[in-house]
Amino acid sequence: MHFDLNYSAILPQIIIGVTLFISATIDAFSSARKWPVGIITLFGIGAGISSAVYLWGSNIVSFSQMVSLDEFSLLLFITVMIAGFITVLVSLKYVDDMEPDGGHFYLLLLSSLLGMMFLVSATNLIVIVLGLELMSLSIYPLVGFTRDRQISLEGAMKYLILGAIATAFLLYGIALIYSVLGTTNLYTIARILSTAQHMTGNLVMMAGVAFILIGFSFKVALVPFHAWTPDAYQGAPAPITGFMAAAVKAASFGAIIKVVIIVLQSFHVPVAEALWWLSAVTMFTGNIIAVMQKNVKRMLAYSSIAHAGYVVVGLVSGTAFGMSSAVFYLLSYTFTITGSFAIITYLEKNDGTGSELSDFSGLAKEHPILSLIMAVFMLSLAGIPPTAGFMAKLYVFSAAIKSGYIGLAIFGILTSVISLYYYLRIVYAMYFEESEGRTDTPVPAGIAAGVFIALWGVIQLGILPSDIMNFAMQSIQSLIH
Amino acid sequence: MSVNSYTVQAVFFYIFAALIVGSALLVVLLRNIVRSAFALFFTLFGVAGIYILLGADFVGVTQVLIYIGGVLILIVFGVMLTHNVYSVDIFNKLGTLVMGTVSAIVTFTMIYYAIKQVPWLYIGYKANAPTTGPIGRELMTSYLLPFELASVLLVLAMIGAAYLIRSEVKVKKAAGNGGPSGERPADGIRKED
Repeated sequence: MHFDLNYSAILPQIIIGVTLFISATIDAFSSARKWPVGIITLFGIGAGISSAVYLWGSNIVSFSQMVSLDEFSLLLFITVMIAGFITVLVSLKYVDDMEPDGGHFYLLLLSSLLGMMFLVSATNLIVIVLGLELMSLSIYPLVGFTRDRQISLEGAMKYLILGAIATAFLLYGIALIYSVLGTTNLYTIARILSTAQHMTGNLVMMAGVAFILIGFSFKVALVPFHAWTPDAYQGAPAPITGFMAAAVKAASFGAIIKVVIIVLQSFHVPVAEALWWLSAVTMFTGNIIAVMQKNVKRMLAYSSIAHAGYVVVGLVSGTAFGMSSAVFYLLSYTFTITGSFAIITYLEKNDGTGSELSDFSGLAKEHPILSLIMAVFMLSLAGIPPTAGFMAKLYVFSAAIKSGYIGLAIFGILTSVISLYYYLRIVYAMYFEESEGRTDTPVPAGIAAGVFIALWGVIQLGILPSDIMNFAMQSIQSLIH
Repeated sequence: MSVNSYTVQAVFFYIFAALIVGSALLVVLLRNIVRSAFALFFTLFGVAGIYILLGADFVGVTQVLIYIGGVLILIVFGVMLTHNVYSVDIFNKLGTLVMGTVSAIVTFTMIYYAIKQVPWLYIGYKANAPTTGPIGRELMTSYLLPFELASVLLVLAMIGAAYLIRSEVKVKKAAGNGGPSGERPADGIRKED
């Protein structure tokens, strides 16, 4: 019997799991103010990031080929853990302000990180589903964390129902594939598909692939499947919205990239064509509807839909460079969006208001540094040099052009010109509109720290992208081997 | 084995299939939610029957224990303990009914043709061996990681649900009811609550 337990294959997950346990214990024995739980969580995530950096270069497949620890999973571990780290920093004061005895915020955040890490390191469809569910089931209560806001619960409910439908699609797709191939192991599936030519045109396989694609499209909010996004993003507490946009998206895309690279390169279905349409429609719809928004959280929700479309452009190209550019995009978007939502967290009031466009009016007079950083984040989202967002878009579009998808690249560039309008409107409001008199509170230290980490990432990836791009290339190579 | 066992199997298959489809239709179409819940009993029972017919004894028993014994009872209790639930008319509007029918037919046709087209591997009739032992062994060896992950998943789902439904710790902020739900953004997505 093939039976191996190599615990170093899940070392970062073990660290996060142990942190979850310690945090839960401290949560149970601490007073109503929960920032100590948050501090422990920070240390745990920091240790997780360190372990991922330390393990860089290893390639371990273990637990009967259920998980693999390779550079691809490590890079995505680091991405989602950075998002988690910034989110916890930002939330230290926020959680205590919003909800007395709100320690479960950190516990659920850690467990969703755990789910994400299993999701991106899975080499078996069963583990992918379990990781995805662990991630999602932890995020639903977090969206409804501020329970006295009706809009928060509404968003959580819609996310829960549509998320369950997405999982149903995913499971049905996996069942169809299992019914044809008799396995859920990604490598075995790839081996069967590459040898058995008669699988081409097998409709059950195609339906299975389509259902899996639809399930993931729900999770990353590609356009026909995006209906939950605006409500969930607007209703969720601001730090959680940033976390969802960054980490949930990165982890789900990680699983998509993995499935596409390992499995679908040997199975000739028109996946690239399907992704072409999905990305074009997503980029267009997300950006157009974002223009009409007055609420900044909702605007950034539609913007995040559009950004998912840009990531898909990298997938469409199908080359190693294209996949690497998608991974780079995820990392750069993680820094930018968690930073933006850190600033929105500062502006959000206890009753949930404070994220309208008018709330940004005249911010530059009172908080010149914060406004400048917000402007940098907005430029990064719009894709203006010298920010991370510019390099990410450059890589993604050049990958598409190299693979001959020139039309899609031009279309993407046009839609990002549209997006410039609404990102710059926030900048305009901050610098050129009059303030309506806001109660001035100092910026909490946690938010300041989170914002500066995010800013560092945005600048670093914008000015010296080649190192990170090399890591992304290595991570994709580790999947192809 | 003999043709006879095929025939018997086919007869039972169609009985269970009719039970599932018929009661599932009732679940969707009945106007009273309590009756829908009771119709669901027959759907879940029929699925358990199909499992056992296919030789998956463990899955069949689990289906009965968890879905009929657990989930369905919870649903019925939830319905009965909910205030004023009997008077709520849950019948779907004609528009959604038409949409649902069309999408059901389209999905059915797609899957029907897909299943028809594929040359399935025919393994013939096999005497059913008990599956519980092998499943237990696999769960503790090859599928150890997913098994443990599933247990973490269940614990976290319980924690999340418990926090969402726990009673308010404080009654402050009664006025701060968050974003006014009546104010709809101009994107045309939110049509109804």
